[in-house]
Amino acid sequence: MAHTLDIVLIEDNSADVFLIKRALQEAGLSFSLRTFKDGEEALRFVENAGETSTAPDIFLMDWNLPRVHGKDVLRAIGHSAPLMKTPRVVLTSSDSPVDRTDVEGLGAVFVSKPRSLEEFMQIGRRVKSILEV
Amino acid sequence: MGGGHEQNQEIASLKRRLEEATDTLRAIREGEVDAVVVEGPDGNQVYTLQTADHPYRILVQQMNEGALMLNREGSILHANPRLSGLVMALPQDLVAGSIQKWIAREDRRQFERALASAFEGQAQRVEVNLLPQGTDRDPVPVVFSLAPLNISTVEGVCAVVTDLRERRQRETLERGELMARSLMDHATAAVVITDLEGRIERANAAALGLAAQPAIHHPFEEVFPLVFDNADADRAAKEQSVAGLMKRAIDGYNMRGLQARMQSANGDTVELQVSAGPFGPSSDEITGAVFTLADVTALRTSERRFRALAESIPQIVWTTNSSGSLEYCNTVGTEYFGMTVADLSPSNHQVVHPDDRTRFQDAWSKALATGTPLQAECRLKSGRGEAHWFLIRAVPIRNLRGQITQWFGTSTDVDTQKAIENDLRSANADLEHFAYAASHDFQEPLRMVTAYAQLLEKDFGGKLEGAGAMSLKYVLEGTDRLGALLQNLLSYMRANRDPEGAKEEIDCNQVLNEVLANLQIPIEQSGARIRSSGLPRILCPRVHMLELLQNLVNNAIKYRSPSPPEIEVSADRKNGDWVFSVRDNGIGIAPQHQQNIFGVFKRLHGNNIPGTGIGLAICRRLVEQHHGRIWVESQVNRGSTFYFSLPAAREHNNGAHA
Repeated sequence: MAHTLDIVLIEDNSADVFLIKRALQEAGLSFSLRTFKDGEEALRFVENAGETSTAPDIFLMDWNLPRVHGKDVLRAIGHSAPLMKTPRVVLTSSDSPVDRTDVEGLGAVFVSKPRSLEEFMQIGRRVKSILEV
Repeated sequence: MGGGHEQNQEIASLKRRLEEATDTLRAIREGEVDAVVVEGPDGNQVYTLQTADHPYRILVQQMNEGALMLNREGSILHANPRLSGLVMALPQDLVAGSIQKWIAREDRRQFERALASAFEGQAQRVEVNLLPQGTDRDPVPVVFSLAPLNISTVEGVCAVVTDLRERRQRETLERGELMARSLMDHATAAVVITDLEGRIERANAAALGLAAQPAIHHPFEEVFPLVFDNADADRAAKEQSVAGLMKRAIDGYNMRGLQARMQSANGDTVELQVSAGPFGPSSDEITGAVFTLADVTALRTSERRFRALAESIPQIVWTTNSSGSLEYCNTVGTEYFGMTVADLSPSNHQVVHPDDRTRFQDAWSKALATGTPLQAECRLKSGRGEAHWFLIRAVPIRNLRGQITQWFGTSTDVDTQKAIENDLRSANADLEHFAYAASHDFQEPLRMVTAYAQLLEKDFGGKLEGAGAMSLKYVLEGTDRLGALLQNLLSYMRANRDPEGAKEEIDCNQVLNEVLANLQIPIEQSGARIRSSGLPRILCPRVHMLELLQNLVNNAIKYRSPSPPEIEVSADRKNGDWVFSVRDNGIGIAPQHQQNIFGVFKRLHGNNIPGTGIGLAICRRLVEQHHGRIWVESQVNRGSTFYFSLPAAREHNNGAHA
């Protein structure tokens, strides 16, 4: 394990935060997690990127975020010079093809939150393969 | 002895007369002379040809028939002036010439045969056309009477030529008269001809049958006491009396379609359609008037019945002419619109609600142009300012030649139905929206419960025992079932929400393979054998076909008998449809349950066979969305066959492959 991954997680549901953390651990990743509870907090982080904070290795985010929608957060990341190359994964309980198209159109990976624990744990392996670590 | 001398003289005279008579008789007998002996007051007078020659010549010259003598070749030896008149030539142009040149070419052979026969001693008659001199003359039909003539050394045929033109003309006139008479007598309408004073000169059988009194020579007005309908208010008043009608007819006017009634011979009132006009050999020579009286009682009765019917039904009933102008509207209509037919007819589209008017006018114009029935739903404004929804239908009425003469229409107030329909539709939409949103929103907490229950099992399952282990098992089973239920409920909702436009050409064999892959575990566990007899390529959203086959095959496995499932999937063309079938050897379905298994949450079995009770409801929704049908044929303990039909797209008729 070369270095500790810097992961930003934007998720309002603490139960999901716990599960995602568990999935990343089970995939054997070594990581530090910065968590934001809503779209507004996330947006503030994106605007300050490169000044008061460093760019993370990956964004994991919910789609239906409170205050500011995931769509606007993704857009802001895409427009931010220090962040535009950072990979983004949208984890959502939506299975609507419209949402999938929107997410992929904004340069992110669409992942449907699975119902079973076993499948949920796959998310950790998915992140691992995206970061090729 | 003077007496003896007188006696001798008398004897000598008698002797001489006897000799003369004997000579004459001998001469006549031996054919030397033709002679006629006529007894007169001065004794017998003998006329011979010698003496008759001059009068005969005059006779021949003066007679009104053509006369001529011909030799064997047809050369004219003698011709009278009448003959030269018939052919418009001078006598000297005729004599010594050939008669054939004056006879129409097509008649010449026939004439020559007759001529030859006449020379053989048989009198002949032959009808031919003579060709008068001059280019634009009509041929003259004549009959030649040919008789052999043998006078001493002269051999020839004498012919009399009768002009047939007058006779033909007379025959034509007679035929015309007979035909006119026959026409009149066969006409079902009464035909009456009067003189200038209005007295009846002629009347056909129908007219005589109609009249209540003797007709001929009686005044028309008395024999046919017509009473005119005053419904035709725009008709001139002078046409509304028989005397007025008579006067106008004699003045040369033709009048048609007048409605009248009168008492007929048997006392019934008959309704008549009357025409009147001038009568005479030509328009300059009017000798009276002609009346035609058609009995339209039956027609009027049927019209009155139609009106009574039209007035008795609660719909608006109307008729228009062939170009769509309103002619009649029943009281239901005039009361609803608060207008008379006269007010409505100039612009009856004004009663259509402005929002619907263009649509209605387009539909109506199309119907008028193509002659196809009209069906439209639109709002019509009432006289009280309301606008109700109406179902408007109209059909064309055609005459025997197939031309449209009228449109017959009804407008049915469907406002109440429409309102109920709209309420129902929106209530249904609300309900579906709610159900969809609810099912969707339940997913999130359910996912949480499921994931954490599984986490609990994973992390602490080994440490639980007894009641704790059992509780966790039930939580996990409950979340599984609730998950499946919500998933199916969403599929069911989506089956109705998905646009049907997403049709694609699919190979059903590939879809079935996908189904078998998805059901791999239950297939292996049950030992099911699934056969398919070559499914077609059809136009259908792929997910719909997948859902249909997967549900049916899954059911066939689930509701199996103790022996391993034998399942056969096939498809047949029936009329315009593909009928798919999934046959199994399972437990079967009792007849009383075969209908309701397609309803939502209808389950025949308890928890011993897992299921959500939505699968077949989804299938029905999908099939109905494609205007198909789903049904089952089954026998308890023998098995079931589920069928569903989908309309086959025309361009994929030959899509089936083995």
